[in-house]
Amino acid sequence: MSARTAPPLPLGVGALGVIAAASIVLPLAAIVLQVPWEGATGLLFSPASLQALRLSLLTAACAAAVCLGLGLPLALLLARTRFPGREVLRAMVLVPLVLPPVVSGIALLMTVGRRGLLGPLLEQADARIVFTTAAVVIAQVFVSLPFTVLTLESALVSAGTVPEQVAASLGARPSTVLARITLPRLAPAIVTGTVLAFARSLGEFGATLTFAGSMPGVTRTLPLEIYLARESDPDSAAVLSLLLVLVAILVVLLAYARRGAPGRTQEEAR
Amino acid sequence: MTAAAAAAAGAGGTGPAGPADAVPPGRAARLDVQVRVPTRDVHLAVAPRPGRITAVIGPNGAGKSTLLGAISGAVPARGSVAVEGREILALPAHRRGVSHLRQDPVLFEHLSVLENVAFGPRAAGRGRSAAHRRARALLEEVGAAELAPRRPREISGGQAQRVAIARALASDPSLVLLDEPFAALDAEASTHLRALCARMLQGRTVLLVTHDLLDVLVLADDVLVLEGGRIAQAGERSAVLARPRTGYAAHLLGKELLPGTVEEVAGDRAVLRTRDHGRLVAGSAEAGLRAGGEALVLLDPAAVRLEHRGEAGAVPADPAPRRDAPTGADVATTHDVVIESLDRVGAGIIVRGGGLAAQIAPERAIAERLGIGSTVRMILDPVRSAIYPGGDERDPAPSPRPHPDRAPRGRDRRGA
Repeated sequence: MSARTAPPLPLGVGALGVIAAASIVLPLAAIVLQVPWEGATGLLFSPASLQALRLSLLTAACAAAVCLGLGLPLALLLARTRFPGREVLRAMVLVPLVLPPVVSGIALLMTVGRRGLLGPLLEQADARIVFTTAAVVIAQVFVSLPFTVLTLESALVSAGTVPEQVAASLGARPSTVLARITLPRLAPAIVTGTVLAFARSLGEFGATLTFAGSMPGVTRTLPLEIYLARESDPDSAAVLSLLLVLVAILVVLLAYARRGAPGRTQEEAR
Repeated sequence: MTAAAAAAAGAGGTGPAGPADAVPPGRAARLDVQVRVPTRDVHLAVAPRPGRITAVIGPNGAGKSTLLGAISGAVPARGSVAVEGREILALPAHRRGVSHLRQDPVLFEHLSVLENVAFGPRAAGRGRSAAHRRARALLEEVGAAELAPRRPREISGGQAQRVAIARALASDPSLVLLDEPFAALDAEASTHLRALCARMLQGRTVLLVTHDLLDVLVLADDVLVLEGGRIAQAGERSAVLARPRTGYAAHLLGKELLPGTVEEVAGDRAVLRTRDHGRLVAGSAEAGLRAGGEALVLLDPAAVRLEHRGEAGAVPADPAPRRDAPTGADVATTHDVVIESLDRVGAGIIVRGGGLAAQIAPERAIAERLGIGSTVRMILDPVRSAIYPGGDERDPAPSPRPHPDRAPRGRDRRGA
């Protein structure tokens, strides 16, 4: 909107910008162009692919739901309360974003693995987590939760608390304020945060492989299936990759293309 | 609070009912506030008359909004806030029964106008249809019935503030706080809303923070003047406006207030020496003046005659020219000063200099090329300059003197 009035940029900026754009667009285009279209549907609907796809969708949906259920309270705590160590906690929430996924997997092993931090506790309860479908979800939640928390927290901060104060002065108790004022106002951010968590979970690979393994039907999600198929059946890998690319584009459209999505308010808040 | 004011509280039942029932709708609640907000250096003891609208005025930072925030729960405060004898300071905001209306209506964007107004009744546990009935009745009363199905973003600022008033009253508050409710509206909308508030708030205990003289004239029964986090003056509107004790209140009326000491009193005349410029000013003496005592002179710039004497640059620069100084009897009415500032007031211009002020028509300022630096002679009319005791008068600047926590100026309320 301000493009018309913005002063001109040096030429070099344009050239570098084009290179940057190409480095993102080109690989995406390559998948679309290089996919062996003849017989693509057959590859897509092979039993192994379908199994992996079903598991991926199931675990990613579970992870997204957990991210929302746990991320919302954490975001509320970070945005609306003051407690010692709040800043540190806020920084810690970011860590999984920049951690190599394989390290995330090892960290989870060290937490709930047999010799992990909570290992004895889980053994007592006779609960085995590692190498189960639950482990897939846990790995996905670990890497996806930051997206949800960050999206919700920045939306809460930029929304301010004045409407909540007004609601309280009208006699609404805290639970009413949360249900009737805070959450409805947060709806766009809730959608964005959940969709982002779903997308990140769908693409999870490294932590899943390390922490949950690659058992067909149990922990072998679509990205793992693609990785394994790459050697035996490159065409199948390409088709499945295309599927994930399309899902990713869809998710981005869902999360950011809507007017007033938190992506915008985040920018304004800065 | 005076005995009369306490009596005006009427049959204020102080039964230990639930917060929503503590005061029936529209009942004039008795309010007793003694709060300290140390972080903002605010120490106030206020007991507004029940069922009346008390305007809270004062310069920015005087503590007006802090006072409202302390009562509504938006600002943490120490001390005591009692409504009908019930202590509410320790209660969370939603259990105080205090409606706080701000400059920005803050309608809930995701709810329709009707649902906005119904929000309070529903939060109080009323059923959906009962809450909607009450909301419709209130929207009707504020003349916004046709807005009910609309979304807040589809209505104008004036309409939004109407809805906010309906919403504030729908929750049956025992106390209504207004913080510059019309400041963001254009003149026409604010005139309508002021009239609306005068009607809707009748019989309620209301604190109204404002910088607008019109709000005080149309709405207020009493006036509370704050300065530096303390009460500078409090009392019935007519008493406070007739004899302001702060520069702020005087300016609100387009007058100038000069503090000083009484030089002499002779019958109904007195002469005061101003504190800031050591100027002698004659005026009509009011009861209680004594030579040597502290006093205030209330100057009406419209009653000050002004003669243009030339440009300061034309004669040797002299902030208070004495060459041509008046002598004898004129000494206390005639002053030569250099103009330091010009101000707009209504359709006129107020020129200030040497601690004095005169009001002129803008045409005259243009025709005579009056501007900053011009030397003028101001001739005061003693009959229209009231001099009254100011011994109680605090420093217009935030007082460095220690102040007792509970220092309502009972003296000013005697007439109430």
